[in-house]
Amino acid sequence: MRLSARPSRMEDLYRAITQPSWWKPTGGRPSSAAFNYPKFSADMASLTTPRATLDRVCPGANGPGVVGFDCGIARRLDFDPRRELDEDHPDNAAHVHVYFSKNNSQRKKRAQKLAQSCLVVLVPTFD
Amino acid sequence: MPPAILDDPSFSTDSTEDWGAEWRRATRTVVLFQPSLHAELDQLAALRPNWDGYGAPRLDRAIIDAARRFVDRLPEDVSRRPTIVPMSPGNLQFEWHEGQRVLELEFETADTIHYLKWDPAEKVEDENTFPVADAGQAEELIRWFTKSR
Repeated sequence: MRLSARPSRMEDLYRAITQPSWWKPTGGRPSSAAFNYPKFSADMASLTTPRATLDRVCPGANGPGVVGFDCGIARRLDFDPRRELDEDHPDNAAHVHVYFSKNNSQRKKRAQKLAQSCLVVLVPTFD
Repeated sequence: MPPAILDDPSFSTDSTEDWGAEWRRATRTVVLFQPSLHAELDQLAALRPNWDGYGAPRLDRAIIDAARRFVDRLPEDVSRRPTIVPMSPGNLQFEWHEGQRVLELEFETADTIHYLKWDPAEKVEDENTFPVADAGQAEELIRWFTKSR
């Protein structure tokens, strides 16, 4: 399958929150640790469902959730989502890699802003 | 290492022990949560590959060891327990949160901490690196978080 390089700025992207410590229950939001990388995976909301995202990443697990963020906001924060093959799930047409395009000295601030921009799609229920 | 009094059934407000002595014990808070931080590091060290569902490797042993030494050096009067957060490349960070205020100390390597001081109300967005061996810098950052509450 040929993939276009970049999803639309109007696209929402899903990221699974798979670790209890990636979720801040008192604030009801993810930790920046879910995004604080030079490259991470997400799924295009228009081509999947939150449950499918969760089932691909942590099938059968209780507790993990899904957050969504806006592709346009991500770009303004210098995160660059690109449609690329998910090597673990090659049939996942929704997959994007999100690249942080600035230098490492600004990564944590931008990841914090991206985390704060997230909407909770499936609330994590870690004990 | 002194016992963790939160786990000590003899620690209660009904104790017949001298109240002042009990208070002095209670304010040495970091001593209380040191054992639980070490236990948390034990759990993180046992994480299997793909622990995040996105293909993460095991956590780097040298970084776990550096984090243990960091825990042992935390100032005794730190009153807020951090969360230790595993990160997908195999490193970890210590996080303190209160409302929108955040302090992150990320062990990028066993030798380097990358920190974030974050307080939107005070327009603080400070990010930089320092050597893990610089305990004074770490203490200053933790005191920024705990004292500006």
